[in-house]
Amino acid sequence: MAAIEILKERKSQIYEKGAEPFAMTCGKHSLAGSVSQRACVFCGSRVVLYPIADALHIVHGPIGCAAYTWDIRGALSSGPELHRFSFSTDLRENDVIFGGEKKLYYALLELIDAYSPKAAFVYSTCIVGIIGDDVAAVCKKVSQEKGIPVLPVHSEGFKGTKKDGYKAACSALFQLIGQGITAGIGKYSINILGEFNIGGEAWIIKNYYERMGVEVVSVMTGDGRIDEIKKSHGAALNVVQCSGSMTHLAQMMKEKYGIPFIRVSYFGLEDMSDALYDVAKHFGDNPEILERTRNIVRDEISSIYPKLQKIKILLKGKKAAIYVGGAFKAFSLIKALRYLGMDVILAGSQTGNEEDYELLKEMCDEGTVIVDDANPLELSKYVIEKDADLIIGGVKERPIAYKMGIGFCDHNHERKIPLAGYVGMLNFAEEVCRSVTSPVWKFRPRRKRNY
Amino acid sequence: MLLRHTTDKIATRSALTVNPAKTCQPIGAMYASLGIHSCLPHSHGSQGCYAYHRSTLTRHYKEPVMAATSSFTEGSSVFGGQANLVQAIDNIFTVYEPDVIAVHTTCLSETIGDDIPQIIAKARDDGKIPSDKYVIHANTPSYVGSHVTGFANMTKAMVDYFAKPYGHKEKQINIIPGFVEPCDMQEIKRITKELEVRSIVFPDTSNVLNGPQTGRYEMFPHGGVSIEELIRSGSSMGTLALGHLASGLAARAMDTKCKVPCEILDLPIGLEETDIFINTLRKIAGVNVPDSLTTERGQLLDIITDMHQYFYHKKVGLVGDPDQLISLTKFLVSVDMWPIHIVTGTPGAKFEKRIREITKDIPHEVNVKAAGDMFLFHQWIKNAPVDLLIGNTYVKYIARDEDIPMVRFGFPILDRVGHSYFPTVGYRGGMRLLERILDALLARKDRDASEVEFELVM
Amino acid sequence: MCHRSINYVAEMMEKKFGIPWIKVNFIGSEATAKSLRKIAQYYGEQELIDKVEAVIAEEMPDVEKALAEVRPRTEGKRAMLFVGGSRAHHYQELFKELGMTSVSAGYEFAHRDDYEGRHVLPHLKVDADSRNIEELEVSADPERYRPRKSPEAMESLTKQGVRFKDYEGMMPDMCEQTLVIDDISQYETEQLIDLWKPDIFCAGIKEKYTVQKFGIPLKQLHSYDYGGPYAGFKGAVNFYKEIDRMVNSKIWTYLKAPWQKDPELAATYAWE
Repeated sequence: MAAIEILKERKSQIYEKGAEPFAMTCGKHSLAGSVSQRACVFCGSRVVLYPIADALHIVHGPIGCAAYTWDIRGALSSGPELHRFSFSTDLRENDVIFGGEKKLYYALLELIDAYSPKAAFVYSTCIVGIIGDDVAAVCKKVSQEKGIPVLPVHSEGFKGTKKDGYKAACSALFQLIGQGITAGIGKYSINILGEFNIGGEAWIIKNYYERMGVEVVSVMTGDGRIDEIKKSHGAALNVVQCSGSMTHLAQMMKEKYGIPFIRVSYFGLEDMSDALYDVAKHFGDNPEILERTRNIVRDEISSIYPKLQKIKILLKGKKAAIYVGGAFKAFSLIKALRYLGMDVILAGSQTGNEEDYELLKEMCDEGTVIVDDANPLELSKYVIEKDADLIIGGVKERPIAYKMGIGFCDHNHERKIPLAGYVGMLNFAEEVCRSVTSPVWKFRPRRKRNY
Repeated sequence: MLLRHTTDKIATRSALTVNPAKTCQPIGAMYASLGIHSCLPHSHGSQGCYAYHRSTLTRHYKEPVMAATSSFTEGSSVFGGQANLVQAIDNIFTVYEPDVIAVHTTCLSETIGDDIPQIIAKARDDGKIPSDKYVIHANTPSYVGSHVTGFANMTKAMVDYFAKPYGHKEKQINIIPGFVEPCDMQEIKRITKELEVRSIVFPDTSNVLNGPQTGRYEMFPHGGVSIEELIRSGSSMGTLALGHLASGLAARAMDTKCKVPCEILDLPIGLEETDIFINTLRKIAGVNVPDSLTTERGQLLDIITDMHQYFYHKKVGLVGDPDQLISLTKFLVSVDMWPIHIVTGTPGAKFEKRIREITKDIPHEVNVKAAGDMFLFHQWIKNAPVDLLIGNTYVKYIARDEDIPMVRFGFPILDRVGHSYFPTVGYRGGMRLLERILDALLARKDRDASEVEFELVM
Repeated sequence: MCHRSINYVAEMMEKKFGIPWIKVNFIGSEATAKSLRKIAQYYGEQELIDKVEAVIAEEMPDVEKALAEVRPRTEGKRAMLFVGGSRAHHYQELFKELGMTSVSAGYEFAHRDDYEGRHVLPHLKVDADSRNIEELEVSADPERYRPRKSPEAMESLTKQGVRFKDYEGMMPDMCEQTLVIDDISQYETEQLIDLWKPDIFCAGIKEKYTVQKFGIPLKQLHSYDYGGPYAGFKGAVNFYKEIDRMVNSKIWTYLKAPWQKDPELAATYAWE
C-alpha cells in the first residue's frame, strides 16, 4: 500500500489490486471531514430531472441551491429551454420561522400562469425537510388548480447520498409514467434511460436506434419532454445507461408495466456496439433490425478507425487515472482507454456499489488502485506515485490535474463535446491525445521526462 | 433566444426569484477562509453545499478549492451535528493538518440550532484540536443576506478569534480588502507597499486562488494571511476597511474588541475611489505619495480624456454585488457614462439609496434594485435598452438575446480567464476596466458599421 | 467653400468657360442659411427662393432647440482654432452661435488673402517662396466659353449685394483683442494655452494629445475625431452637442490628485 496517510475509517474504501482480500465498503455516507469529491441528494435529483426542457423546475429553499445549479450542465434541448431558467422560492429568515408553503404555492401559480409548462418539479432542499413544509400537499393543490402534474422531488440534501437523489428523481418520473396514451407505439420500441444529452449525445444515440428501425418512445431525460415520458410505459424495452441514476426507475417500470430492461453503455467502440446489438437481439424476431445494426456498426467503425489507429500510436503505454461519478462509467472508460493502448493506474467512483467494485476489480490490472469516494489528497498522491499522464474526472479534479502538470479529460457534465457513440469515441481519443501529448507538459517543473 | 421566456411586461413578484443575482452566505465564508494561510474551510451541513461551493469557486478561479464538510445525515439533522463536527475536526487535523479549520454553518445546521462554539469547545476538551491549531467559526445562514454577508461574517470571525488587544500600538495598518479577486488583494498590497505603509491585509487570497503551475499539488498554497499577523492585527494603529458590506463588520468588531479605530471606504474601483483610498492611507499614516502612483493615476486619467467621446452618455446595465456596484457606478458616472439599470441580488435598502445619490444627475430614468434578480434586470433592458452590460457570466444570456456588448465583471465568471490575475481595483485596475469597456463598445462599432462608415482609426 | 484649395480652379473655370463663382460657407447654421439664400439670389427664380426659405424654415427649429439646450452651458467659453485653410475661420461661426469667443485662430498653410481677404491680392508680389503652386495661364475656350450671365445681369446682381469672386478673409470676423497666428509652433501653443486658458482647442491629431496633457480638450477639425458631420443645419446640431460634451465634462476636473491639492502632512499616524 502506498505510503500516504489515510483515515483508518477510509481503509476499506481504498484498495490496491493484488494486495489483501477485497471487500470495498461503499455506498456509505462520506466521512465527516474527509474532503470527499461527492455531492448531495438534491444534486442527484437535479441532474437527472433538469434536462426535461418543457417542465418547470423550481427549487424550494434558500437561493444557493438554485444559484449553483443554474444551467451548469450542457444538457441540450431541441425545443423549449425553460429548464435553463433558475426558479427559486429564495426562502428568507421569516419563511424559515413561519414556513415556506405559501410562498411555494404562489410561486407555482405565478410561474405556471406565466409559462404554461407541461409539468412542474418542486425540489425540496435541506431546510424544507427541517421546517416541515408539506411540499406534497402544496403540489397536489396546485396540480388540481392548474391541471398539470406538479411533482414533489424529495431531495433534502442530508437524506442520503447523490444516489438517493437519483431515486427521488426516479420516483417523480414514475408518477408521470402511465399518464399518457400509448396508442400508436409499435412493437419495436424502446425508452432510453440515463442519457442526459450532454453535448447532444442523446441525439447521436437516438439516431443509431432509429436507423436500426427501433422506435424511441422517450429519452429520460436528455432533451426530454413530459408528454413522451407520460407514455413511455408503452415501450417494449428500457435501455438503461448510467446504472446509478436510472436502474431504479427501470426496475419500477418492470414491476408495474412488465417492461424488461437491459443495461448498456454508449462509451467506447465495444460497449457502444453492444448497446446496439443487445437491443437488436432483444427484437430477435425481426432479423432486419439485426441486419441494419450490423451495417451501422460496420459503417460507423470504419469511418473512424483510421484516425483512431493514428492516435493509438501516440497514446501507447500512457497511464490514466479515472475518477468519475458512476462506476458504470468507469467500466466503459477502462475498456476505451485499453483500446487506445493506455494503462489504468487508478479507478474510482463517487457512487459505486459493492457489485460495481467487484466488477472493477476483475477488470483492472494488478497494481491498479481502486477507490470509493476519494479525496483530493488521496487522488493526487496516487496519481503522482503511479506517474499518471492523464486524469479523467469532473470540475473539481481539473485544476488538481493541471497543477500537477498532468493531462485532463472532463468526463462529467461540464464538457461540450459528445463522448458517446462512435463519433464520441473519436472525440474522446482526440481529446485525451491532445491533453496527454500537449507540449505544455514539457515545462512542468515536477517531472523531467522526455516527450 | 435562450431567454425567450422572458417577457417585457414587469409584474410584481412576491414569492419568487428568477435567475438570481446572488447566492448564499456559505460560499462567501468559504472564499474568505481561503484567505488565511493553511486554513481548511469547513461546511457544517450536507455534503452538497460544500460540493457546490467548491465547484463554483473552482469554475471561477480554475484552481483547486479545498474544503471539508460535516456530511450531515438524516440522523445528524435530527440529533444535531455535534458528532459529525467533532469527528470532522479530528479527521481533518489527523490527515490534512491545516493550521486552522474555519467552520461556517449552513441553512440546515442553523435551523436545527447547532451551537458551534460549544461543539468546538467539546472538540478541544476531547483533545481533538492540537494545541498549536485553531478552529474558528462564523454563522452563515443561507436564508439571510447573500454570499457577501457570508464573506463579511467570516472576516469578522478572524477578528473575533485571532485579533489580540495589546497594550501598545504598532506602526502598521490593517486593511480589509473586501470580497474582491485575489489579484485585487495583491494590488491593494502593492499600493500600500508603494506608499511605504506597513500593513496586515486580511483575508488575502492572493497566491491561493491565482497560484502558479508548479507541477505539484499543494493543499495549502503559500498565500494567505498568517495566524501570527491576524493576532497582531489587534495592535495596529487603525483599520482601513474597503467595501461597507463585506468589510465593515470586521472593522467595527476590531474597534470594539481591540480599540483599533477604523475608517470604512468604498472599494477603490475607479479614479475617485482610488484617490480616496490612497489619500486616506497617506493621511492616516503620514506618508507621501510616490511619483510612481501619481503617474499611474495620470495614465488612468489619460485614458479617460483620450477616449471620453466613446464613454459619453453611453447607457449601461450593471449586475453585481453592492460594494462593487457602488464604486463601479461612481466610476462610470465619472467618465460620463449613464448606468441606468443597476441590480444586486443582495438585500439592503442602503444600496438603493446610495446608487440613487450617485446617479441623481443622470438625465434619464434610473432603475435600481437590491434583492432583485436577473429576470427583472432583463425586463428593464427590454423596456429601456442599453449600450453595454457589465456583470457576471450569467449576464451573457441577456447580452446574447438582446445583442448588447458585455464586459464580464463580478462573481462568478465561469467562461473566461483573467479576472483572478488582472486587478480592477486601483488606477491600474481602472485602466483595465476602461480598456475592456472600450474593447466591447468599439468592437461592436466595428461589427455594426456599414462598409461606408467603417473606419481604420477610431 | 474652402477658399484656400479651390478658388484657383473656380477662377480658371470662369476664365475658360464663363462660370462665375461666389464664396459660400456651410459651417454654422446662420452661414448655411446665408449661403443658400445667396445661391437662390444668383438664380433669381422665385420658386427657388421660396424653396430655400422653406428648407431654412424647416431646419431651423431643430437648430434653435439644440442651441437653447446647449448654449446656457457653453456661453462665454473660449475656443482656439489652428487648422487648415478655411476651417479655422468658418468654425468660428459655430462657436459664435454657441456664445463662445474664438480668442485665437490661425491657419497651417494659408495665404494672406485667407487672413485679410482677396482685396490684398493685387498688391501681392509673387516670388519663389510665396508661389507654391504653378501659375497656369488660362484663356477663354474658343468653343465652350459661354458667360452664364450677361454683364448687365452680373452688374445688377452685384448692386443687389451678391459679391462674386470675393472673400473677406478670417480677420474681419474676429473680435478685438484676439490673436491671429499663422503656422503656430509648439512653443507658441504652450504659451498661448498658459496665457489664455481656452476651454477648447481645435487642431489635428498631432496637437491633440499635447494640448490635452494641459487638461484642455482638443477637437480635431481634420478628422472630426471620427464624429460629424458638422456642415449644414444638422451638422451644426452635431457640433453643438459635441462641444457641449467637450467643454462641460467633469473629467477635466480630475487633473490634480488630492495629495497635489493638499500636500500638508503630519508625518505621523493620524490615529496615534
